[in-house]
Amino acid sequence: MNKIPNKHKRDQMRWDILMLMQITSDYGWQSVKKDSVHRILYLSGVLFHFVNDSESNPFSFYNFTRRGAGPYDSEIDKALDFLIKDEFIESSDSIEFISSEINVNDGTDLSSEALDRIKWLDLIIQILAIYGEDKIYEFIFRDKEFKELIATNAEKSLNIGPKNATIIFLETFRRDFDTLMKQELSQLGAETYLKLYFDYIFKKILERT
Amino acid sequence: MSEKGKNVIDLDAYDLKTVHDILYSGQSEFVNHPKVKIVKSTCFDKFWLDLEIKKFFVIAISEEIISDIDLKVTTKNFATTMAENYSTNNYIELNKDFELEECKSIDINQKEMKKISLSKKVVFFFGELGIDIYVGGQEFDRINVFTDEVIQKSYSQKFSIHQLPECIKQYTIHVNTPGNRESFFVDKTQLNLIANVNGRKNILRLRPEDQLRNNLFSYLQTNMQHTWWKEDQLDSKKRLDLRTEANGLSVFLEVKWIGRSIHQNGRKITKGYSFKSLRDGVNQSLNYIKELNEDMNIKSPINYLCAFDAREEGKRKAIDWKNFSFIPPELQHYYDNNFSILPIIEINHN
Repeated sequence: MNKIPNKHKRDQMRWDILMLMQITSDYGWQSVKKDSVHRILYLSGVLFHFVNDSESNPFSFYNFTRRGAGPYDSEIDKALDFLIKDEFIESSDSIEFISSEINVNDGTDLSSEALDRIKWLDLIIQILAIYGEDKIYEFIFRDKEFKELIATNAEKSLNIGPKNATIIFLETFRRDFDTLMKQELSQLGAETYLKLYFDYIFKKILERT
Repeated sequence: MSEKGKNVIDLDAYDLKTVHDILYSGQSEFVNHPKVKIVKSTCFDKFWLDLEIKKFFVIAISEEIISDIDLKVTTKNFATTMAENYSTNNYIELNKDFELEECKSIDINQKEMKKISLSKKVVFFFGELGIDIYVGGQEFDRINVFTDEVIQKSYSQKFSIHQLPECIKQYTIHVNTPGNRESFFVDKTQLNLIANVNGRKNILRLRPEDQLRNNLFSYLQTNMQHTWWKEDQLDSKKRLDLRTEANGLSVFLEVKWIGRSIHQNGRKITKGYSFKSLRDGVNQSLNYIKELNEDMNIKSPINYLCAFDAREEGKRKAIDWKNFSFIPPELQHYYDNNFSILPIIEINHN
């Protein structure tokens, strides 16, 4: 886990959530469930090293454990509470939805690091938007890193580092796909393999396997 | 090959030319455009799946507005546009907000689809077996490598969470078919060795709670749209028998049984469980709902008791729920609002 000051970590989490809300809104989601915020940020972390060459994972300060049906970081809940209290986002207690009407920024004054972060979140949410928010749970349940934690029933953090079980599976998936295509498509980028991976997992969801 | 010597992808199951076209053709820019994929799944696929009678029709979108499609309004506007125009036209062209750009009646055939697509329009042809796409004169019968409308249609026919009672009724038929029903019960040879059998046939095997729950789990996993898992642990370390999440909301099943099972020494029958076990199961479930809602802040609006009845066929009395007067006042609210008892699953040896 990156050693960054707690205040920086808090601010970064709040910023991530606001970005997440804005991007999901751009993809037509009226609102986002709190569980989905945890799950989208987890997927952003666990899949990061498959597509990005960077040695450090900018989502590594999240500490996800398993809670019920998905990954959970209690600090995200605190960040959500802060954003609701300060009216950056709205919450309805009855259905636990939160929604955002604010425009965080138009990208003009952001650092390249922040822009890369937005671009990555955007890719993850863009892929999930194809399948819908209600399917995130099904993707999480077929995520190798999460599955391994469930299988062992261990009370430990999910590994979102470069050698996590999801990345290892994705590397095998990429190798098999290249074999399938007889290397014809070797110029496909990692983003395309990531999209193919979600399509492949979606097939498993539909086939109940 | 993967670590265990097995490929992740079934290499023989795919048409390589189709996969090649999707990923590699000159038209793949539009076929793989995220907005094309999103509107196809959120608007077009849903519309096609909901059609009871598949009438051939076409939706067209100009290539130059694909990037400008406003996903904030497409779902709502698409429903309105289709409601107003679908019955009287078979060609509907949409603008970037999915309002009507143009509608008319045309001759629908492959040549016409290709011709329209050559005028820089992405064409979605809604046919009997799914939605074909035409871009730049090229036909794509699918735009995803692994999934298509046929798989989606099959999935949509599985039970949703709202159909759980109906699913349990189907399961009851399933478990009582020859070949399935025998698996729960002590076979006749062993019955003859039991001292106090007294003509009974429905004697469950050892640890019936695990067998029954696991069998139900497999059926739900295959026949419902939702993924279930077993023995999820609450903060109090108590375990939910079966749990899923449907439409973003947590749902659990507490599994109970009544009847008799074989003793672990294999030579006599246990006293088994009676109605009290089911009544205890109600309060047990309500306590779980209370913990989920009050201690874990997990909304769990509807949860179920699912009971197997393995009593002797022809000798079953109606289950005495004692008007549910055994429910303590602090759990009554959860009984009234968040709990239901599924149709009882009667199982018989033969």
